[in-house]
Amino acid sequence: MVSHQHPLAEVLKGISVAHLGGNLSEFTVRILGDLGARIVTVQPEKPSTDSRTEEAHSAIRQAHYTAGAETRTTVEESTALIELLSQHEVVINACEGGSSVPVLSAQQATALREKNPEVLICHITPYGLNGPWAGRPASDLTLLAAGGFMGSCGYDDGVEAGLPVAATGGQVNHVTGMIAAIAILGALLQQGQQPRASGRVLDISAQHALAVSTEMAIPYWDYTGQEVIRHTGRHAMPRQTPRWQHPCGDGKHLLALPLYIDDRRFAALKEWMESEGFDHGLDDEKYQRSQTRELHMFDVVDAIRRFASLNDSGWMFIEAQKRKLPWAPVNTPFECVEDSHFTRHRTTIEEISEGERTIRRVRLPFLISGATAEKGHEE
Amino acid sequence: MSAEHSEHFELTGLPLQGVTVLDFTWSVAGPTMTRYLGGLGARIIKIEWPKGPDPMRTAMFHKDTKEMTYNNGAFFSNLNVGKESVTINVKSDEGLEVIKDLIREVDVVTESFSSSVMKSWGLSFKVMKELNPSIVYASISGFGHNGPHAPKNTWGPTAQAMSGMTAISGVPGRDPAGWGYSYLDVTAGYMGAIGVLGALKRAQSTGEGTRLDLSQVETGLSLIGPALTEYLTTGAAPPETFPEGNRSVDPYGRDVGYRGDRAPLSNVFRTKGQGDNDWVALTVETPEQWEGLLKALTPALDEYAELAFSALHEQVEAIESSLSEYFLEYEKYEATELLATAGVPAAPVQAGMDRVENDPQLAERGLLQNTEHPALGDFRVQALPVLAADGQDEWQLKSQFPLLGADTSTVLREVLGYSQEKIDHLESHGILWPEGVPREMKIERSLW
Repeated sequence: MVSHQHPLAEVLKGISVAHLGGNLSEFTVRILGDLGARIVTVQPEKPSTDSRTEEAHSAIRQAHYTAGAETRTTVEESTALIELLSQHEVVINACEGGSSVPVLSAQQATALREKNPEVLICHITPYGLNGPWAGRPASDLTLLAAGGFMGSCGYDDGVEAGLPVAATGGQVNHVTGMIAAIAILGALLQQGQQPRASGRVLDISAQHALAVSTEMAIPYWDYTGQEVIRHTGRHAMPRQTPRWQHPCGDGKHLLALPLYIDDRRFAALKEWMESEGFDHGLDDEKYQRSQTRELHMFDVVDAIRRFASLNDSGWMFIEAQKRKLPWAPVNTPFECVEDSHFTRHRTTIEEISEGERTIRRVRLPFLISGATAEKGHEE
Repeated sequence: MSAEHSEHFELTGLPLQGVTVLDFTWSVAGPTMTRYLGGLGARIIKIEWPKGPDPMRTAMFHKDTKEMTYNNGAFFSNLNVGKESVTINVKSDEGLEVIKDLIREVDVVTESFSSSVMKSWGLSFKVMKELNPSIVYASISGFGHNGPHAPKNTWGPTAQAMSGMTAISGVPGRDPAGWGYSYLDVTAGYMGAIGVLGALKRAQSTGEGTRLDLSQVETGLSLIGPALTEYLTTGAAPPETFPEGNRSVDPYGRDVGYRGDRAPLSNVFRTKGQGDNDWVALTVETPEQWEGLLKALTPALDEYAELAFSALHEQVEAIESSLSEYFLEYEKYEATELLATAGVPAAPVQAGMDRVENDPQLAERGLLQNTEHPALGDFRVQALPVLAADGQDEWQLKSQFPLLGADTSTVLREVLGYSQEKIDHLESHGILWPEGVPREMKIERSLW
């Protein structure tokens, strides 16, 4: 049972979602379930071992994505399966782990629509239902490569320079899930306005979802003929730019975003450094105005790097933010989630009862608000 | 067609036809949210003031653009396709009244300012609800609108660092690799769109308005994955801060706990050409895939023919070394084809050029949609990544772009029913455009 407090937590109450195939569909199911839909996972009598996680992690993975879902055993006989699925408003037709072919065949999907024309079917596959790469085997890593994420992420220095580094956390699952959820919610709204209309049949490709989620990479190529270069945490750029991450005195890194430092903020930055007795070396006239300063950003960033190395990341964060500088420590997620901003002042973390144990997890961001005790958070 | 089917009709139009969004968002995260709402058919009214318009109007122009203006930025146009532009001085009393009139008529208000801006205008959710009980108000900010960090400034990369999204990728012994672009600008926009769609569904059934207070940092936390749920539930954190580059299993065969998959062989390998993106990625997560790899790469991997899948992680260094040598003889698409044919998950590493020019799958799906831009002519934008199956109508982005202030009069007439006399009055008093500012403003220097 998921503990919901947000007004949207029951918005899909009355909607029943049949979930076929766990590959790339778990986050879609999480989103719909957290919005109040009933989730029914339809799986074979003897589900194949989930190769995506060790046994020790699989229960947590299940709780993370599909807590509260009911389970139904697949009926082998096709007519009975169609009958079972036809009782739901939404059918998510994805692939089993290791496969790139959706559980429900095209013929079965057609039969399902014949049986219940109003059912909304969302096919979720690595590359889409059609096209030369449809049905190709895929994984989180290979889709991060094909979808463009690894074209931007990695190092631009040291022995690792140029090595594409994959983002972690299961982002293929996440991005695909968000795009599929947008499409499903849109289609449900439309069906709510047009009773007796046939349900939408959606074709979601993980690679396609990723390909439009890389910020400036495609625009830079398509509009300027330039390719973004691979580098560490910063905005995508088609040229070498100074690093934004600097080691601090406490061993952590600081993300010191040097963009949008207007003349007023630059003066505040210098004054801050001077107040700490730091020799910034930024008094030359060329640094004082943004138009000329931007030509010498490597010097400015080097001063920030030297200053950061002498101080703790937490102190740098607080003091920088006082001066309207959008900087932050490079936390681990475990550090961030212990911050009182999230634990006390926001409803960031929820507790879910799963059988005899309690699962704690981060809520989806549209279901988070100011904590109840925080007066005026909705005003 | 069955009897049941014949009683039904096909859905027509776009899902959000009839929905109107008053859009104060700027930069990337907020406009991404409203881009998707517009893509689903909502009317998006983008509110700006010419003395401080959306800074993305000054960023990344098309290589053929000779004179840069606020209206012909390529990046801005791609991000804000399908939207109308209205200019109003919200800081004036009369301008604020126009905004309040609009709030009475629209379905959704969106913004991505710092946490105090809307309140400083007197536009709290409480006020909005008094004006329009079913209003949906969605904000996207760094930390949300309450709590000790609420006033702090963030951009996407800042939120990535703060949330842990940066720290969990990279190579041990080095600084985190993190993200080479602003992932949380994109994904906070997606989460915002989901929230608004949910809130519209709620308004559809209850008539009640909803306040959505999205935070980019919390978006990052929600995308960390099961590893964070494990930590919050059991207190256990992975032994390393981040996994070994692109591997998902450590040299002892243990799941590193962060990757979307668990594959004893998982990495990228240089291919012929040695360009920045001449790499192929492959994973082996099942015994069948291991067999497929051995067959496809014979004789290069023959010495491992007897190696069981369960022991693969023990030899991973040596196998990767053989693969590194092997793939140097192949183009990345050639290597991908070889592996995919053998049932091994593989893909070329693709950046912008490859996805636009060389990827037959994305071309088949229509990665880019052709539009007509009033200032740029034929103009391609990234299409919605949602296709219709079974011959249903596709969802297409509207071929419309927000030229600064170009739709002000139309919106005031159509949405508010203002008379021309009233519009002229507002115009002449500097409420709809600042006095002395030319209508077409040139940009001296692109932001980037």
